[in-house]
Amino acid sequence: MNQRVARLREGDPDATREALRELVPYVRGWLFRMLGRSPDLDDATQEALVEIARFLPRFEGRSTLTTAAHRIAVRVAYRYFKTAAQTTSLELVPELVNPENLESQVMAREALARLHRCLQRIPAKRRVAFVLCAVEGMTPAEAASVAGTTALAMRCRLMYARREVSRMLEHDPYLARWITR
Amino acid sequence: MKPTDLVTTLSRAAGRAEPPQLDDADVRSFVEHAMRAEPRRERRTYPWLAVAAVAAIATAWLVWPHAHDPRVLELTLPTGDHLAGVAGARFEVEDVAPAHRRIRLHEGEVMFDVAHVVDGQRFEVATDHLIATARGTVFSVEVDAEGSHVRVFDGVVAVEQAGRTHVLVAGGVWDSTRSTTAIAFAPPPALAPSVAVALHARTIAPVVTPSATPVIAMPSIATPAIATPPVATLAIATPPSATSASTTSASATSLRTAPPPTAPVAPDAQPAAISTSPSTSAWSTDSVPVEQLSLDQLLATARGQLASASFAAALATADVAAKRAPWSSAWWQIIGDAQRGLGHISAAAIAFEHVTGADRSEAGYTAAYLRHHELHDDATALATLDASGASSEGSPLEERALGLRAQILVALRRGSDAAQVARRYLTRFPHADLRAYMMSLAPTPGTGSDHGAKR
Repeated sequence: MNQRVARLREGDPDATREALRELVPYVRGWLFRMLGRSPDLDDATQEALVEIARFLPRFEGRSTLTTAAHRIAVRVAYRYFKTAAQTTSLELVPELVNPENLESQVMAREALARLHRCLQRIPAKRRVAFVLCAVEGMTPAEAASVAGTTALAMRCRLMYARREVSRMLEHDPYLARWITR
Repeated sequence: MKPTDLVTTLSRAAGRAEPPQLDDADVRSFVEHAMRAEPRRERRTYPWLAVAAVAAIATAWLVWPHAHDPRVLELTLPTGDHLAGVAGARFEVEDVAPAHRRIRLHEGEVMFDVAHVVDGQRFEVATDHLIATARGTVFSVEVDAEGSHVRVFDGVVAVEQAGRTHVLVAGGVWDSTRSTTAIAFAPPPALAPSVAVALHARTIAPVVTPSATPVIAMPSIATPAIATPPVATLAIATPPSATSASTTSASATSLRTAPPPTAPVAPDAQPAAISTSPSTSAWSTDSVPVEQLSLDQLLATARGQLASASFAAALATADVAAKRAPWSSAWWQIIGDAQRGLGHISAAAIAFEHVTGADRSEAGYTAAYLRHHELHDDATALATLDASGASSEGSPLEERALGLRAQILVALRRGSDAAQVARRYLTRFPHADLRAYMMSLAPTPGTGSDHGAKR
């Protein structure tokens, strides 16, 4: 057990404060990708940090602190899935955006907003699988570790999530322009 | 690209999205709050306490000596719903669970400002004559010696009477004695400020029983014109200058009449930052710059501007608000209404398609209606209608949405699909307005007619 973990376990306020400061941008980013630009984002971030602060004295160092915090953030996100009914566009998209073309920027924002709306309509576990694997770029095994499930279950959830999102996007009147049949 | 490739592309793009920036003070605040958090305690809920509190309040209400008391009494349920009743109203709160709120109204008139209702939740007002079911809306129910009257000021209310369901949208009135729907062109001046405050500030306002509200029969959707969803939520006290507003949409003007004189507005019933001005808009914000208004006040202002047909002003207000709270789909509803009022039908349809949450069905239905009837884009209309869920079973708009769906399918020359929709319509709503049209679409054995195939 390294010195930092020992200090955290002892409840050293300086070590706890430092760890939380490091984690704030991560936690906020994870929750942002889970919840979108939701009015609950700040509340969820605060709630996750509170839970992490409570967890730190029990942290044993068997995984990285980031992974443990990510697990907590996902757990908090589940709670907010039930209340966060509204969303809007995410930030601009490099692949779709031509910086000189305002119209393409607007279209990209709109496309992302619609993707996020689709995510809100699929079951929470599949949504988490999709965000962790397809959006965050984690492997199913890594995502399973964060979500507290098996890699096989994660693969299944991801497969169903992709299928559902694909089907919804296919029927989206706005996105139809990009789809060839 | 293929749909799966689009999913991949959008997912990668979403992965690069960053949350709004935090400054150092924000981070410090997050950390310090987390550090101060108490160790976890077992959470306990006291549902009986909420029920007891509501029962006590309701009892107090019932025994309140208000025989000739003109005051309006207010009540807020634990679920966030606001009730305001005129003196003499008698009701019981039968259920206050978030999933099912039920109020039984025995006598008098009560206005309900219903908190957000999500899927799976219900807010019902039952009388001896009917049951009104709301979804995040402002409406009133009145019970008198003859029957019950429901008036909808915002949103959608489903009224069940004698085994049949009737959908009222904003401006709609239901009279249980005659089993008729009507649209109130303009509320009487005394009612206008009350409704406006409830609509705009989402606070409870005095309810005044309208005397002889001028009503006309709702435009029939038979033959098979679908009833046009109203542009503005309610025509409230249109000021003289608004009458000359360039309302290019015929459907918009059809819901307004010659404006009544500007309603006298009780000073204490107005949101603080909003003042009335007969020379401009009834809801102008000339006392405070728009940028300094809170989000609630901006919403109130924009709705008021819509109601007074100041569509360009409503659009500008919504634009300011949308920049500050882009997550709220309420702005899209306002933008859609304003664009429609300005005659920008395509922009209105796109805005309505953005609406999410409890209003999604209604907005999606409106978008589909515009795409079909005004833009003649039937394929998109069908996709939008399907995505809205308005035609799903149990939806308050099911009857209208099925009618619209059948029309779109006929326009797309999908006769057999239209016939299928017609059969479902006739099963679900055997006595509704579009019965004759649907019977022409759904061939009975032996007739061999197929409306869509013929076209």
